Amino acid sequence: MKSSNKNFRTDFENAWSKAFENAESAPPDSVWGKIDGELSKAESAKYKGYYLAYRGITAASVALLLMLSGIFTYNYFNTTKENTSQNLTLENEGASITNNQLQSNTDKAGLGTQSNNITNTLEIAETKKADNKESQSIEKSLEADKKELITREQIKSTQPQVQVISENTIQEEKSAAIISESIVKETSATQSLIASSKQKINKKITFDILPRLPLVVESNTSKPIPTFSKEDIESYAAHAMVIKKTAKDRSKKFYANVNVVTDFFNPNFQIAEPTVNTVVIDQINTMTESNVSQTLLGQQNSPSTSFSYGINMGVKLSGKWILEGGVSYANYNTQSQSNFTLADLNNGTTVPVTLLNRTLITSNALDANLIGLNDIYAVNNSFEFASIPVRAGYVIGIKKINLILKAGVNTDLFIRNEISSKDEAIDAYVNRPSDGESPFRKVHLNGLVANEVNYALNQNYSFSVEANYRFALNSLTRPGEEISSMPDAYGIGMVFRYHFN
Amino acid sequence: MINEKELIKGCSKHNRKAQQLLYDTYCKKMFAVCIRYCRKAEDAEDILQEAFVKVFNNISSFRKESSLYFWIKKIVINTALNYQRSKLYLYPMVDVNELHYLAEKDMIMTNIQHKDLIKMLQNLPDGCRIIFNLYAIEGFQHKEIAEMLEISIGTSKSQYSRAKFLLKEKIISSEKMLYEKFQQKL
Repeated sequence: MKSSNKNFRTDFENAWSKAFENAESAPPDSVWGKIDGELSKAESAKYKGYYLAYRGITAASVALLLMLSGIFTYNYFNTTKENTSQNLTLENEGASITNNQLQSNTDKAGLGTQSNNITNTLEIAETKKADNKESQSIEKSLEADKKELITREQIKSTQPQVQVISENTIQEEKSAAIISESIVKETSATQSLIASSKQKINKKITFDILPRLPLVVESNTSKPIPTFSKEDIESYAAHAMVIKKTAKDRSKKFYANVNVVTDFFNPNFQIAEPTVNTVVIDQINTMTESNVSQTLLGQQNSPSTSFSYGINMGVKLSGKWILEGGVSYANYNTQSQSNFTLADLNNGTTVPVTLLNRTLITSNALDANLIGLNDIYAVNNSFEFASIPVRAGYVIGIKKINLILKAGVNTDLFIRNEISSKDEAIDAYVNRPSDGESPFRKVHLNGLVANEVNYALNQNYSFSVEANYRFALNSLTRPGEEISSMPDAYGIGMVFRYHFN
Repeated sequence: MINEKELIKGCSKHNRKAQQLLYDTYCKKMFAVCIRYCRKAEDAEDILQEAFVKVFNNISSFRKESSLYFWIKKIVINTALNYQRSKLYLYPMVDVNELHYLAEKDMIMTNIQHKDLIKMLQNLPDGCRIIFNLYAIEGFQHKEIAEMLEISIGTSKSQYSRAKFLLKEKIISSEKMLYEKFQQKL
């Protein structure tokens, strides 16, 4: 910040300063033209940068696309080629075997029956064609044989010593048909044998480090073993690592966890209008106002041992965000005091009376039940909830140790409230949501914030220590009740997590 | 009529019309500043051009801690100093105490035209001119000038004294010339 030298200035300096105070001098018009040009140049350079970046991204995308297409095409054609060569080999071998069989058969059956045998063989082969794919290759070979043998038959028919008797011919035809049928069966069996042995022979020799590199060497061929340069192998290895990493990331996308939390629950009861005491006093003549102070009706609750446990399913969203939800059971306990009991003369039970069930006094006092004013005794308030938590989290961490910050909403479904005492003479009073006189909401919402320190035990399992804080978003008690409750709870727990593969 | 806020907003979005409007608003005053720091008008034009390009490129960083006028002027002065820095060689001229000052009551500048004052400034040596501008016209202290130009305070003071001495001489001679002309007319 500039400071002034006015304390040292003389009239001389002031005169100069004043002379230039409002001085103006018009620059040539060309100056703006130069500024305009320079700004345009800077902007074009900026756009040029964008253009270069865009061009680079486009080129990279095209290159990636080409590479993927190349890999796909290579894999596709390699597989097709392999299958085709295998089929061709089978066909050729099958055909040659058929020829050999036929040749040996024709040698056995004699030249006189050759033509009929072959004809029958052809007919049988045609009927088998629909059921047997290999018969196509057999048919081709038989066609060739047929032509050859017909030629040979024509040559033979010119010889006079060859006499064909009809009955004998029929018999021979039958036997030839049986033989041909057996030949076809043998041929099929042979083909199956060849196919299985071919598959055994053509086992792929692959390299584990290069799962995407289709290095296939057929050991029964005379082809040279393909060789790859160091760069090729490194390139494929890098590619394989990317694929493995992607698969690994994908595999760890979902997880399930079991959590057990110890809680410190405070119901934070607030009495809107403590009119209950007046009612009691009106109905019980023996009591004085000092006997029924609010503190003895369990308004002051202190946290007691509480716990919750549940299971959650989680999903890893983009980046470091996670989303999880599940179900859990919560049992929250508080301690308070009372000096009232209600003895039900109909069923012989005596239950503690606190603010939560004080309506018993007003409703049952008229039924000649006994309302006892006792010594001060401890009352345990037990709340049970089924919770449905939905939480979002952000993971901060390196390698094995992660800090997970979570926030979400719990929907608590009220199961029951039990008011009990250690005194054996006093029974427990149970309040359920189905009870008409229950002061509690069936569904209660609360917010949750949590910190979780997670340690990865191995690829699938991790263990966490979690600290959380739950706070009510709406009152635990029903609207219109004289007592309201905005409970909160602190919890420290453990989470055992399984990451799905 | 577009206000200053909208003008700044337009310039921040690199709107060329807004930029030109801003330039038109301040170019005359800023060019007058540039002229004071330079010996030649061409140098002043270059400084003005460079300064306004800086203004447009950095206007989004204008925090309104001072008025837009002073913010632009600061950029113009800094640009002028950077422009001159390469050819600036500052050294202690003489000991400050040895300088002979003319009586300030003898200084009558009202009769001197503005363009003659600029001419006087432009004829000063580079170092003297810059330091005189910074001290006498802009109002900086010698300590600040020393920091800006990375020189000693003594150098700043001696350069200023030298400038003052030279200017007073010029003013006196100018007064004499005026007096002689007046006598001749009589």
